[in-house]
Amino acid sequence: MITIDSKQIKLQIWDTAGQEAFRSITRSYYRGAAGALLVYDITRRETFNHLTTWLEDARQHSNSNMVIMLIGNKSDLDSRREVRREEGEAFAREHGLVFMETSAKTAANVEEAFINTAKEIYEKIQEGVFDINNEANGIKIGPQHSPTSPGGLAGTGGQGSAQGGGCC
Amino acid sequence: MISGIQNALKNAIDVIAPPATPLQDFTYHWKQLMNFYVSHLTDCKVPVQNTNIPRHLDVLLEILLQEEKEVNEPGPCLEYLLQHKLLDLLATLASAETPPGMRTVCLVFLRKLLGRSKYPLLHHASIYAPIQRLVALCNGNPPSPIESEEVQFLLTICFLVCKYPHVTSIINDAPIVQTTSNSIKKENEKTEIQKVTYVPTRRRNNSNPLFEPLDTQAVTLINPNLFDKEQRRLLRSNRSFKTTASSQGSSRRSNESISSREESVSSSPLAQKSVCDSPSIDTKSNEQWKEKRQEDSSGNKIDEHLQNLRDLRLDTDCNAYDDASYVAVDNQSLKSSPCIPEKSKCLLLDALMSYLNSADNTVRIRACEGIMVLASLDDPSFAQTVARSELPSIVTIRLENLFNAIPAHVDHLDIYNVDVTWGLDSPLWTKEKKFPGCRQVAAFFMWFDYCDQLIREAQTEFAETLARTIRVMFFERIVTSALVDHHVVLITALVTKCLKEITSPILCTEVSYWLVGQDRDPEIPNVWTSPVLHRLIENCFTDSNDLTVETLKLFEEAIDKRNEHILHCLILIYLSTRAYYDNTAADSAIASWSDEEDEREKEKKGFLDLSYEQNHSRTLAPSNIHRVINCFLSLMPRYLQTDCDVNNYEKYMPAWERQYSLVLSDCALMAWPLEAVMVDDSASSDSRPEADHCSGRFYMGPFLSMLFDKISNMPRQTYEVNLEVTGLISRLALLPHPYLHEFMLNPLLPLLPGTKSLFLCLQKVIKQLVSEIPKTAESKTMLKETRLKLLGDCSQEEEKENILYESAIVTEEFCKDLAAIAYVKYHHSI
Ligand SMILES: Nc1nc2c(ncn2[C@@H]2O[C@H](COP(=O)(O)OP(=O)(O)OP(=O)(O)O)[C@@H](O)[C@H]2O)c(=O)[nH]1
Ligand SMILES: [Mg+2]
Repeated sequence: MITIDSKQIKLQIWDTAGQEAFRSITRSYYRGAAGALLVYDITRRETFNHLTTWLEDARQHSNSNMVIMLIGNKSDLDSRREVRREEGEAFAREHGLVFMETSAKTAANVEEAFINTAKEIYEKIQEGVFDINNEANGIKIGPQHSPTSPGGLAGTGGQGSAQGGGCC
Repeated sequence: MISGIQNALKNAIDVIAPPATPLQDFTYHWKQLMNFYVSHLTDCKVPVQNTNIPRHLDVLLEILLQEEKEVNEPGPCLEYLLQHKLLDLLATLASAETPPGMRTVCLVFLRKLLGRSKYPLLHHASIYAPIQRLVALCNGNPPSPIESEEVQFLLTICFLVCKYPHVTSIINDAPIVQTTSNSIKKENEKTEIQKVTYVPTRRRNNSNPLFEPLDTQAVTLINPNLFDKEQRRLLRSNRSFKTTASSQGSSRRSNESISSREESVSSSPLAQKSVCDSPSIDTKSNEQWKEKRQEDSSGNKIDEHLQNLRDLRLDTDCNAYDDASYVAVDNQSLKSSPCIPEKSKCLLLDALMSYLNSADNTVRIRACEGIMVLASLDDPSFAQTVARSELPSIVTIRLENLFNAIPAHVDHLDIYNVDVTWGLDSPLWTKEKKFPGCRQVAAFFMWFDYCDQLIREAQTEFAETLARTIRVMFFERIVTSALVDHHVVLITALVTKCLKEITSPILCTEVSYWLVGQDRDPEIPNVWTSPVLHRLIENCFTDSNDLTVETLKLFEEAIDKRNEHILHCLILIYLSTRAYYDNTAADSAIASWSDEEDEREKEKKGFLDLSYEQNHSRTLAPSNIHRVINCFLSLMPRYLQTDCDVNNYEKYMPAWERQYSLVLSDCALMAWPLEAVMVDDSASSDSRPEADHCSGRFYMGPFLSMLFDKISNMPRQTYEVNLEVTGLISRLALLPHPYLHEFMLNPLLPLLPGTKSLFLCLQKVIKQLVSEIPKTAESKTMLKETRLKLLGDCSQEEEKENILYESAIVTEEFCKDLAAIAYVKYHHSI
């Protein structure tokens, strides 16, 4: 539950696997989602290089209005950084995404990432881009005169998980 | 509190035994863990969370992962874990649930270890054996209190299988005894299956795939020779086991009472192995402990105790499986499965399937994910295993149960708004009460969506099997008979919605077989060969307005699927011989020079089709297009027209234009002919449909006949029905098929005497309207008011509806629609 414009918004968030072989599932999830967070690991360039294919997949299988947020994660590991912030920004600009760097470890920007995604979706609703009556886009209006407009989000990790430790 | 004590304990321990190397640390914690069992030989009732076991396991995991980070090759701790079969012991403890909660703790440990390790550990005998035992323990039927942990564990294994595809053969565990005990049934099935799904790459059919990796894979993580001896021994013992097992199997072939699951567990080579072999291994490892740590007389005690636990495990397992197979039969409200599920050759798949009916949404969805991943694995022999498993029928039975759970009182109009997907929860539909029965409807369509997506993503053989099973077990067995029920309107709406939601071509094909039959030959008038089509068409002629409208909507959705088979069987087969065309009249009666020229042009192009690069159809773009359009526009006599601007048909063109572009790309692959030309009679008389011969007349098939009847009856039908019929015909007219096109949209075509055509039907309708609507100023006002009511925005006047006037308005607009379509198609084809 988050609040935008003094309106309660309920986010339904799904974590999908970033595994290549799990794509069948990810594809399935895009269909109902209003937004997606595309996450790469700033300490591993290959995760950044994979973004294009993830993005293609997301665009191809989702509602064309789906909000896509690009996230460079692990900003706490600046010393081991392999992808510069500017590169992330450039990629986002080129593909019309919103960009942020986050750290799941220090929680930096994590809340903001979700709130910004929700805001973006909310704005699109206000602009009337999403047809709210057509439920095909993962936005559900609450029971009364829409004080709540929860949106479905599909989070997608392109990070891979073959790493030790565990902060999450 | 407890964690405080544990911390204190840990500190105390750390002081006593300061770790020197990671390996010493590792073995120390392992031994501490084992010590619990030594000191609780008789009493193991303490919940695991109150013991030190979870903490020791956490440390063990930490050490292992740390080791991986630091060295680039497998380190001594991992080696120790493999060599001393620690996981085997853990699996045994987990099986026995000693102490209570141990299973959860072990599942978490293994999930984390396997999921996070950078090595593909799964192919090691000392890893996959215990993993298999744990997988076999995971069973959501009856619901397990720790099902969410179980399913996560299973999903991690799926994840590994995807990551390292060569390990599929490990999860592909085929208990040999099962194969033989089912051999009679299999024999029968075999030829049947081979006919449908012959895969040339099928190999090693009868060998136990479990042992493939040991034979073919030289990948050994640590020391390539480490397990060689062990493996060979294992292999040998299993080979000999295989022969005894199969002879046993054949001798008790008649013993049907033994559930296959029980058999597969109790006689699986691995279970057997762990009972016979491990004591010696344990002793061996204990000896090594002694060497390393100069102490420990308790080793034998642990060993003994573990042996006891093992015995215990076998007992509890057997009981558990017995229970499982009984409870499976009368499990909760969604049951009714007529047969006890058989086991497939894949433990992992079996385990995942058992959660498909879980009451916990998340658990079920995770199981769905795992199954989808396994079904889409690109490994021919595994794909075959999945296809032959019980999965297709389990999935279909659930679909059937959810369908039957939809209350009969649901309003059919509510169905169309429901919008759900299988994975994302839709609280609006599943939790709130949008309309009575909403939750059940949503649950059904969520599952239908899963079926559709699964078929889309899965390997072909399984996809086809599942789609076929859904047709046979669900559509043919359940839905067909429901089409005569008292709530047939709702059923029809549900089918329409299903059609709409289908995205998978394979499922669409199967549903098309259900809808119009598999036979591609034309039907003979009044002889019904396709029961469903027959039923639907009859449903269009009942007294129920709702049923007519819903059934027409169903047909509309079927047409919109752009499914070649549906279009062929409903319409095209009847038109593609051009039997409606009056050859004899053609020469004399062609009304103008341009018609004649068109015919000749078409002949030329029709036969040179292949060599011609251009694809402009003369049929779709006749040079007399203006006459064609005029025919439609002048159908309605002036005094019945309420739209002052006759050329107003143009306002319909942009919409049709857009639709036609879509239609063109949808139909591009249908390989339809370019031109409507006469088929040379003498050459092809053998292949011409009998329908033409037997009556010597043209038969347009049951579907078009129904539509034309409905069109002719427009003055007597409600506005809703008329809207549906005209909408449906417009959609047909839009299709870029030359025969269908000229039959629908060319009023100037010479037709065999007695042939009904759309244009003739409309003429009849208008004749009737003319004779029944008086030629007075009053009725003109009435017409105008009706028009405003129907097309205008200010609709709230509750006037008594007047079918006749409403029909006049619909007819007027329909004629314009047809003119617009004819022009749009013309425009696209020049
Ligand atoms: N230092 C640091 N480590 C992180 C951060 N976020 C994640 N990790 C670590 O990265 C590893 C992988 O994280 P996961 O959350 O499993 O990655 P994922 O994208 O979900 O992976 P998949 O589910 O396979 O797609 C874990 O060991 C985390 O502890 C972060 O912000 N900083
Ligand atoms: Mg993840």
